[in-house]
Amino acid sequence: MATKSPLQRGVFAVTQSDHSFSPDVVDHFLHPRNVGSVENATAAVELVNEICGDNLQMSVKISAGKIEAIKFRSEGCAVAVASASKLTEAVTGRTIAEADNLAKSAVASVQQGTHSEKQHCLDIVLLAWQKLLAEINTK
Amino acid sequence: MTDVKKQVEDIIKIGIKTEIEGQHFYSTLAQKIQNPDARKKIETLAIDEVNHERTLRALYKKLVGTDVSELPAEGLAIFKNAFGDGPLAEADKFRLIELAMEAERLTAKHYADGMAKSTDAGIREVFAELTAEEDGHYDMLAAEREALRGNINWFSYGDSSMMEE
Repeated sequence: MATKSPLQRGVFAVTQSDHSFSPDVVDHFLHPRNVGSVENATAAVELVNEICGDNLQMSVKISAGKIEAIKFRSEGCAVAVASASKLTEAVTGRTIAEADNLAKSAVASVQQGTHSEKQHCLDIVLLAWQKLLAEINTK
Repeated sequence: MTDVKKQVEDIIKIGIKTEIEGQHFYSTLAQKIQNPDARKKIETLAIDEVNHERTLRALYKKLVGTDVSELPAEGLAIFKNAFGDGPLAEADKFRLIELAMEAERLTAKHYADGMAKSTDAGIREVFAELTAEEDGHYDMLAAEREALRGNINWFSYGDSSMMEE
């Protein structure tokens, strides 16, 4: 019988089921929705993650009390891209009041397959969302 | 902390950041490729880089005893400005695949360096396998480059003739 390598054995958490992404998260990483920047944005933020140095931009346009468009750009990891993609998909077309819980749920759904060490990649997406909300509320 | 241990620690941190740079490059490239077979291959590389990041984070924890607290601003930074601002032309596929090959070659060398510096047999074994995986990526990309010399398109798939493996 051939000896399995450390990667094959999952010794270093490569294949541990509790840290495997769902097909949905993989899909959002490989095919992110709402990438880019919104023209005539109501609010826009740019953040740099102090832990890993990744950059995240997010912009939103509000029209008639609803989120008409929200887009992001990230040069971050799979977790950051998938969570930003899921968040923007979840809140598009919603009122601000509806959107906040949906945004948190979208990011939480990525958290389920993510090692706690990568929490900062989820946090920066939620922070960007909160800063957008704060900027919207000042207008 | 010994100098050698600190060196291995830094190799792992730069490796993690390089794998994140690779995730971004390959997933962005895959989104631009119209050819479904080629796109699938590049998506596989993007997922492999996610797994490599996990492996390296676990390796760091084994070596240091804690999670990585902070990463360097840049990894090997091979993919900087890879896509430019304008649309990609079909000719760009050779530039991009050769950039990816260079990245895999340098990353394999980086992990081979980690293997050479490590004294722990388990850590050496993981570095050895990461080196082999990056070499495998290089070989896969080299084979794809040879296929592209035929009549296969990446970005304008509708214009290509019959796909050949």
